[in-house]
Amino acid sequence: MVRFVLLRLLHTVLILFGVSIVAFSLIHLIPGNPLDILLPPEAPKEVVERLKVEFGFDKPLYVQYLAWLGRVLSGNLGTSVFTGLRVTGELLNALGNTFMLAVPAALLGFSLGTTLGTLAAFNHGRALDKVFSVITILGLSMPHYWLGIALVVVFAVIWPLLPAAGMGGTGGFPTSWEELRCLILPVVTLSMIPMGVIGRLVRSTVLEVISQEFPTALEAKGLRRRRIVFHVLKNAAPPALAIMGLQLGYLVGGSILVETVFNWPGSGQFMNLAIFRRDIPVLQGTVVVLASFFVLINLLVDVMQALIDPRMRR
Amino acid sequence: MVDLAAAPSSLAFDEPQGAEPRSYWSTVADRLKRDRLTIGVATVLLLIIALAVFAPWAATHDPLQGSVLRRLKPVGTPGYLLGTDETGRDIWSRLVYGGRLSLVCGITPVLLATLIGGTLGLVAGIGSRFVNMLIMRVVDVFYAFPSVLLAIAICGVIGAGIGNTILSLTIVFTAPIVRVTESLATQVKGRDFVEAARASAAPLPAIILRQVLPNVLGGMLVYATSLVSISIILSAGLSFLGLGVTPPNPEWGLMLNALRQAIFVNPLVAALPGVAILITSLCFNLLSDGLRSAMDIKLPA
Amino acid sequence: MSAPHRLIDPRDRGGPAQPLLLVRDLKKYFPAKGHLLTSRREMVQAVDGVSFSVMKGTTLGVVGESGCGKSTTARLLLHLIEPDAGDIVFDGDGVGDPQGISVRELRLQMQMVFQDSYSSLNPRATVADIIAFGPRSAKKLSPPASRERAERLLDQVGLQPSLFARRYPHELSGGQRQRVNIARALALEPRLLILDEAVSALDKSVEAQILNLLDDLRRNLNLTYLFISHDLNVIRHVSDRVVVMYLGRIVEAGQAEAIFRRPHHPYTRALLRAMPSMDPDRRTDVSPLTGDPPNPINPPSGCRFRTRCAFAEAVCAREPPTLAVIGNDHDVACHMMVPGSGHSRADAVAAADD
Repeated sequence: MVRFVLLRLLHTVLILFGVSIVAFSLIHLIPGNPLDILLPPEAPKEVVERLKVEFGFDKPLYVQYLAWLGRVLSGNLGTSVFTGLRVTGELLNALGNTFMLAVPAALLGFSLGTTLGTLAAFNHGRALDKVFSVITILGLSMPHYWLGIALVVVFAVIWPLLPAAGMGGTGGFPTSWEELRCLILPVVTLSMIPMGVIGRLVRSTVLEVISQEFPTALEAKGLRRRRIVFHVLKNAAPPALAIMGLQLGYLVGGSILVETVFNWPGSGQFMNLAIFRRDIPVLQGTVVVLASFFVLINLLVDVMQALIDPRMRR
Repeated sequence: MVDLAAAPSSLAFDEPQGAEPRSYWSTVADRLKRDRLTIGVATVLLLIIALAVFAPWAATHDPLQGSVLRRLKPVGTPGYLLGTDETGRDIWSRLVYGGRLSLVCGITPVLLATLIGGTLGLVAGIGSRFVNMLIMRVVDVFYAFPSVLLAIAICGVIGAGIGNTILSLTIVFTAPIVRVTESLATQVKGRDFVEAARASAAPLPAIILRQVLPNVLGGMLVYATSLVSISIILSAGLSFLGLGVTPPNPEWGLMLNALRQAIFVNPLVAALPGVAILITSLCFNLLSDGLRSAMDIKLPA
Repeated sequence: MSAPHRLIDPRDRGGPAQPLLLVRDLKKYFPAKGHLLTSRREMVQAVDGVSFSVMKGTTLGVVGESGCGKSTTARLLLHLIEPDAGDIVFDGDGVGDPQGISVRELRLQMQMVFQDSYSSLNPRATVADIIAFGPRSAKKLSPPASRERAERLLDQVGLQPSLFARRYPHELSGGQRQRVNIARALALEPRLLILDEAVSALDKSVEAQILNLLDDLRRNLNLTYLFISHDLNVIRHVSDRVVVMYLGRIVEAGQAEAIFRRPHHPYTRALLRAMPSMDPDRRTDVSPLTGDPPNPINPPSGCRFRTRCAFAEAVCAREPPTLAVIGNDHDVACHMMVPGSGHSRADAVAAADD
């Protein structure tokens, strides 16, 4: 077991290296001189030279990479070209806001998905199965940014119940009902895709488990329905948990679209702005952090799976 | 004990089951024909594709021609079937023409990624451990990025436009396809008939092409179809953010963004492009499901 | 079985006295799962020093229970798995030797018939394609020529080409599929056929047909067989000589009738006693074999069978017995059979034997 964790850790470190290389290379994929992107063409020569040295563009690539990597590992993600503020602080702030959406959305999506999937599986072949299956597949196929707009249309325009956008209040953890109201629409929107993915996965996994012999054996032993369901779910859990972890990672890393619709100041919007302003340090820093978070979640999920299911320890 | 020496060795009256040879694919086609949901979905898709291909005839107006006088007319306005957008252009026509761009940006990356990723996955699955490790570790790095993040980052860096969108999405989809193909290929590799092929001293390319590939194709097709549904949503999403197709081209995601302002004036009109995306994506998803049932395949998660 | 055919194959190089296949000290160890980063390398000793020879035109039976290494041996012979040690000599030519033959050349003379399973034939290919694949791809025969050969082979294995050539594996019964397996193996015109549990998955009546087909083919095509099975009845019926394997080693080898009538190794005796008999006077009450099959990862020291042997003594744990000649073409690897080995029964047994 320890051996497995160590191997995975080694693997993860290598991946993180790869991720950092990709993130670092982004700036060099941009057609043209990186300096020209950072500065307007009329910038005075001294400014150009200073930036050159500061960013190290005069040195060979691998030196630049190592220097950047060193800075990143020590927590310094650079300074925003646009605002002049340190990226790390801003990003953490924005990330916190994203978590405020992602975590409830994950919880909502997973519980809805699991319930729908289980109900569908246990009612296999009947109308209820079809209904639930349709709901889950809709969740998957829906452009969630459109759903956000649609929800805004219904709940903020036609029946003005909830705010159409923004975080309300002063930011940070919601402390009032007002701020909580702002959460509702974006969270529901975000929860659609996880609900769909988990719903379908749970349905197919539970169906597989049911078709095995042991639930029938349990029934023959006289166990009540609810206990049987519990046992079945226990067996269906490992792959579902793995995918749930991945979904959480996707939610954090891919929240940009929903944040744009709701004008939510999270990491997604942070990155969006960086792209439009050509704010390279911010872009690099955000990509590295978000991707690393995803990788770490993967690692956690793998280790947990190995803990639960000894067969997974390859 | 059975008298082993007495039984005849050749049985001329021995016959195969069934009247006519039925290949695997014809069995699949049979199952599909009986699956009404999938047939329905396929019909809808064909309709959407037909509308896009024959856009000049299906559209009622010039998708680029607008007039401030006709802004945001509601659905059902005479002459403008689905109303007009924020600059007065006919929405139906823009939807129809937009289908071209959305479908191209949705399907092309998956096609390219399947070609590239499929080949890599086959090589990784059949090749030596070293080759496998090399390919799969690189794939792992790309897999480490959530698809939305990677697509946006690449597009953000190389710029907007159709070509860049397709390139960006191809890169995003190659990694998962390599994974799925490699897994399928490894499964097939372990089967006896592949061992028999190896034992026949046949060259490796022949083994891959004639023995492994035909058995991997089904799974790849199912997976690729489900990827198209994601691809359509993603490419529209990129345009929505301003990173994909550029205005004034009609494209569903782009239209969605532009009409956002309109939700306060004419909410229904604003929702229409999203419906188009939803229906198309849903159809591809259901098609993938139908194919999977017909082929009776279990895909690696 | 009938005497070896007199006609000489044009590819023959050493005459009838030279063994067609000679295997010396073949070894294959597999790392046990999860071996990375362990200080102590745990190995599954699948094949541990196996040596035997097959004379031209004869059938060598290899018998043993599951896990004894017989299937691994078959794959080692064809280099489908790389051996860790040992020599394979085909008609006098070392395989892999610079002066000998390459693996590719070996495969054109030695082929394998697999056990019938759903995965033994490519589900996406027609029967004719399956058989023609080898000649087309390995020997570069033209499509019409390989097609023609496929149909000829179908005829030879008892399947009417007009009925079966365009069929797919899932439309065939078990016996028919096995005939296709045989035809595929014969397509490259080998001199030696390895049959790995070739009839194990078939119903008894079908098994009889296939065995008779194999016998006909052997005589008509001047073939040599290496027949692997766990079924003692089948082995007795088909083999000229027999080799008994246990946990990666050979414990007894010799003429088939000698081994079946007068088995010497305790394992062979137990196997034969365990064969169910239809005779109500010879019911088996007590299982002849005691104990559980040991772990192939860490087999017992010395003689591997000692943990289940009623006659095990100290010397059996100390020294692994080697194959010793105890009669005319009859070898046994057991301390009891070797005078002076240190086993208390050694001299008594030697004296009691002929």
